[in-house]
Amino acid sequence: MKRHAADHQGARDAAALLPIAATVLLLPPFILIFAAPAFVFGVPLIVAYVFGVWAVVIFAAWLVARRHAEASDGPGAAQETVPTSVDQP
Amino acid sequence: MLHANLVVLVCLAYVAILFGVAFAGDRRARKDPTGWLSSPLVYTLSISIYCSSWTFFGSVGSAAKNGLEFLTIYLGPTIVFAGWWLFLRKLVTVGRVHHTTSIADFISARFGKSPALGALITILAVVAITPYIALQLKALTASFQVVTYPAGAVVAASQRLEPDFLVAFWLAAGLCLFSIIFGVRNIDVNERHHGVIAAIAVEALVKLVAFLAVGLWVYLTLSGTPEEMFRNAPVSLMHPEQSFGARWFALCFLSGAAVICLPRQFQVTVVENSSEEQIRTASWMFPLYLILINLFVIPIAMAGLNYLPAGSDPDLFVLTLPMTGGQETIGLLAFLGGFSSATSMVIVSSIALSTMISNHIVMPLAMRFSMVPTSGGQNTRNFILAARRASIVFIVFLGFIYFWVSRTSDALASIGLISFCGLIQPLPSLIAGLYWHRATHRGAIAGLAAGFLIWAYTLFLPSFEGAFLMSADVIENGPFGLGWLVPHALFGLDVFDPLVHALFWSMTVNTGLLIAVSLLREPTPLTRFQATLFIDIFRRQTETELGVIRRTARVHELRQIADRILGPVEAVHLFNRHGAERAVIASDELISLVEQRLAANVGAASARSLLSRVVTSETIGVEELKRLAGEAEQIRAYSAELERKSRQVEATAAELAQANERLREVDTQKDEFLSQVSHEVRTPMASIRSFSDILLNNRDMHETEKLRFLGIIQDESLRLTRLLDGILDVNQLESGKPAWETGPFDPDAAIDQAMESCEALARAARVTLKRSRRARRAVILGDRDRFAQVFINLVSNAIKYNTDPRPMVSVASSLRKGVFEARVIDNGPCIPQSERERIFAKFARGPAPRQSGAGLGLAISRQIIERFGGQIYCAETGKTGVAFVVRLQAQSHRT
Repeated sequence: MKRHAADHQGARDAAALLPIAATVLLLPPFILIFAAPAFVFGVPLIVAYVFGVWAVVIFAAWLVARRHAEASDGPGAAQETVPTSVDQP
Repeated sequence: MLHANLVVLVCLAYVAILFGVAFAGDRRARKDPTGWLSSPLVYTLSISIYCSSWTFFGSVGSAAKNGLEFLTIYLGPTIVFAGWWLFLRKLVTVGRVHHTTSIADFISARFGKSPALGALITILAVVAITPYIALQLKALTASFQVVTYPAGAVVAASQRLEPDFLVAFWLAAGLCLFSIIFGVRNIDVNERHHGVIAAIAVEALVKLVAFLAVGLWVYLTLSGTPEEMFRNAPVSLMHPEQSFGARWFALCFLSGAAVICLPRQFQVTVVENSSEEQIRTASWMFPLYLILINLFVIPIAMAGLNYLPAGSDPDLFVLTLPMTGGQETIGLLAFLGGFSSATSMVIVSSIALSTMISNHIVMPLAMRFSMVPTSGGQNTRNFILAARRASIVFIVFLGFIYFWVSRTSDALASIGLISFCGLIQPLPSLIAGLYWHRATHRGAIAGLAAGFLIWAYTLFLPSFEGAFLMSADVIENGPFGLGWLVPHALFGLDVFDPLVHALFWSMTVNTGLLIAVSLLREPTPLTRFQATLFIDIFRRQTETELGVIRRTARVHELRQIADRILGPVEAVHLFNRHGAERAVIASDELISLVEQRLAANVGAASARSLLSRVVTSETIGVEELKRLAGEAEQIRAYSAELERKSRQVEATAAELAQANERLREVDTQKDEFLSQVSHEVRTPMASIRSFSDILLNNRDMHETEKLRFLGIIQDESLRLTRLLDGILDVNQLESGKPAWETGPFDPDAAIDQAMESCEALARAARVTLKRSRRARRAVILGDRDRFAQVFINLVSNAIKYNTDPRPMVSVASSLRKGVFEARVIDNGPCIPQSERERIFAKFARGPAPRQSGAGLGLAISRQIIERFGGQIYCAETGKTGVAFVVRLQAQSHRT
C-alpha cells in the first residue's frame, strides 16, 4: 500500500514536471543552443533537435499516462479520491 | 488534371460514407452509450480537428517561407496535452460534471450564470471565427479548382485564380446540411454528438493517411540525399539563429491557449468528454497525431521549392507535387485529405457556435421579449432546434459572405493566427474561474471586453488594410494623427511584429482588468457558490450543496418548463423518480435537478432565467456558503493531519524495528554469556573432579602429595566461588536492582581503603604501591563500598598483570571543574589500542596473566561507574604500562 501510494505520488510529480521540462526545452533561451547553422547527417541540427525533443515528450507522456492508468485502476483506487482532490494546484 | 465530375463524384461518395458513419454512430450510441464510440481513440481523433485545412495546406507553405515557425502551432498543444494533469484534467472534469454545453456556457456558469458574459463570448467567437471559416471555404474551393484545372495543377497554382463561388456556395450548403442533420437532431443532455464525432474521427484518419501518403511518395521519389533536399531551403531553416525570439514564444503560447479555447476544440475536448481515461490517453496520443502529420511537412516543402517552378503557391505544394509527378491518385487522396480537414473543422465549429448562439443570444432575447412559445409540449423544443439550425446556416454563410467580399485581398492568408488571437481572449477568465475564488463576473466581463477591443483594434481591423472600418491612414499614423494610438505600435511599442504586439497588449490588459475589477467588489453569493463548485471539483459532496440555495416553486409549473424543454418523456422520468407527482411545492433538490437538466440543454444562464419565472422566492444561505467553503478547508486540514499521522506511524515503526534489533543483540549476548559462564565453570570443576578422583583411587598416596592435591582442590573451589560471586554481581548490576546504599562520601578515602586491601597481594607479588597526587575536598554521591570495589579491581589487576622486573602501581586523583578523576597507572605491558575496549567485556582477560582471574572485574567496574554516571576507560601513559581512568561528576567542594 505504501509503495503504491509512493508510486502514485511519483506519477503525479512526473505529470506536473513534464510540461515544464518540455517548455524549457522548446522555448528560448534553451533552444538557442541548437539554433546554429549545423547539420546532422545533412539535416539541419535545429530540425533534428525539435523533432527529437517532441518525440521524447510524447514518449514520456505515454509513460506518465500508463502509470496513472495503473494507479487509478490498481488496488486502493477508491481511497485516492481525497488526496487527489486536495493536491490540486 | 482530374476531371471535375470525377472529383465531385468522389467527394459525394466520400460524403455519403461519412453520412453512413454518422448515422451508424448515432444509432450505436443510443443502444450502447459506453461502446467504442466513447473510446479514447475516437476521442483523440476527434480532437485532431485542430488540424484544419490551414494545417493541411498551410504548414507546407509556412515551412517553405518561414522555416520552422509552423511547428509552434503544434508544440503549444503538445505541451498543454502532455501537461494535462495540471490544467486540462480539471477543466474537463468540471465540464463533464456540470454538463457544460460550450466555452461561453462554462464561463458564464462559473461567474454566477451571467447571461451577459455568455453573450459577450458568443459575439467574440462569431466575429473571430467567421474569417476562419471563410479561410476553410477558400482552401476547399482553391484545392478543387487546382486539381481540376484544365492546363494542369502547376499552372493553376502559379497564377491568381478567380475563386469559383459556385463551388464555394455548394460546399457551404453541403456543410450546413451535414451539420444540421447530425449536429442538431435533438437537444440531448450533455450536447454530445456521437454521430458527428464518429464521422470526424474517420475524417481525421483520412487526412492523416492522405498527408502521410503524399509525404512518403515525395520522400521516396523526390527528396534524394538530405543535402539535395535542403539545397533551396529558406534562410530561416539553414540559419535559424534569428527564428527564436518573442514571436516563437508568442506563437507557442497562442497555439497552446487556442487548443483549449477555440469553440470547436472546447466542444470536442470538454463537452464531448465522457471519462478521465479519454483525456489521459489523448495526453500522448494527440501529440503523437500532431508529430505524425508534421513528419513530412519539411520534405514536401523542400521538394516543392526544388522541383516546382518559381512562383508556385507553396500553400498548394501538397496538391501540385503529386499532380505534376503524374500521381493523380495520390493527388486525389491529398485533395480528400484537405477536404476532410476543412469540412470537419467547419462542421464542428458551426455546431459549437450554433449551441452558443441559441443558448446565449437567441434564448435570452426570446425570453426577454416573450417570444418563446409557451403552449404545447414540443413547441419550445422545436423553437430551440430551429434557432440552432438557423445559427448553423448563419455562421457558414457568414463565412461564405466574408470569403466573397474579401476575394480580392490577401487578408485571408494570415487570418488563422489573427483568429486564434481573438478566440483565446476567454483564457484568463477560464484559468481564474478554475483556480481563483475571488474572481467576479464583472472582472471577467471587463477583461474580456477590453481584450476583445484591443484585439480588434490592433490586429483584426488592420488586417483589412484599410478596406473595412479602419482607413489605411489610421493604420499608418493612428486616429487623428495620434502617434501613441497607432494600431501596430500602441504607446510607441514597436519592437514586436503586429501579432505579438496584439497578443501582448490584449492578454496583459485582459488579465490586469480581470484581477483589478474582481478585487474592487465582493463576488455575489451565487458567483461564490459556483466558484466553490468549480474550483473544488475533485471534492464531491452533495448535501451541503443542496442546502445553500433555497427556492420555492410549484411542482406543476416546474413540470411545465421541464416538459417544454426536455420533452415529456424525460420530464416524466425525472419527476416520477423523485415521487414528486403528488406534492404541490417542489423540494430544493428537485428544483436543482431540473435546473441541472435544463442547463445541460440550454446552458446554465438560460436555465436559470427559465426557472426564475416559476421560482417565487430565492435565498442563498450565506452561512451554508461559508460552511461549504469551510468544508473544503476542513478536508485540506484533515488530509494534512492524516499525512502527519502516517509519518508518525512510520517513525514509530522504525523505532520498533530498532528496538527489535537491540533485543536480538541482547539475546545473542545472553547466549554468549551463558556459554562463556559454563566454559569458565567447567575448567575449575574439571580439575576439582580429577584431583578428587586421584585422591579417592590412590589411598596409598604420599601424605605431602595428598596435601598438595587438596590445596589445588581448595584453590579451585575458591576460584569457583569468586567466579560465581562475580557472576551474581554482574547479574545484580545488569538487572538494575543491586543493594545500593546512596550517601555522600570522600572518594580519596575510599581509594585509600581499596589500596590497603590490596597491600597483601602487592607484597606477595613484590609490587610497589604508590599513592601520588590527591584531589582533596571532593564529595561523591553513591555507594562507597561499590566505589572502593572498583579500585580494588583496578589495583589488583594492575598488580596481577604487571610483568616488569621492578613492578610498580600508582594511583593519582584530581578534581577539576567539578569532575573527579582518578588514574591507576602501572608500568606493566602495554595494551594495544584494539584491545582497550574489549577488555571491559565479560570474561575478557589481559594478554599474559600472571594469575588467572574470572575476567569479570573490569566488566563489573564499568557497570558500577556507569551507574555512578561516570566513565571508565583505558588510556596511554606515555611510557610503558597502562592507565585506567575513572571520571565522575563530583557533588560539590567540601568547605
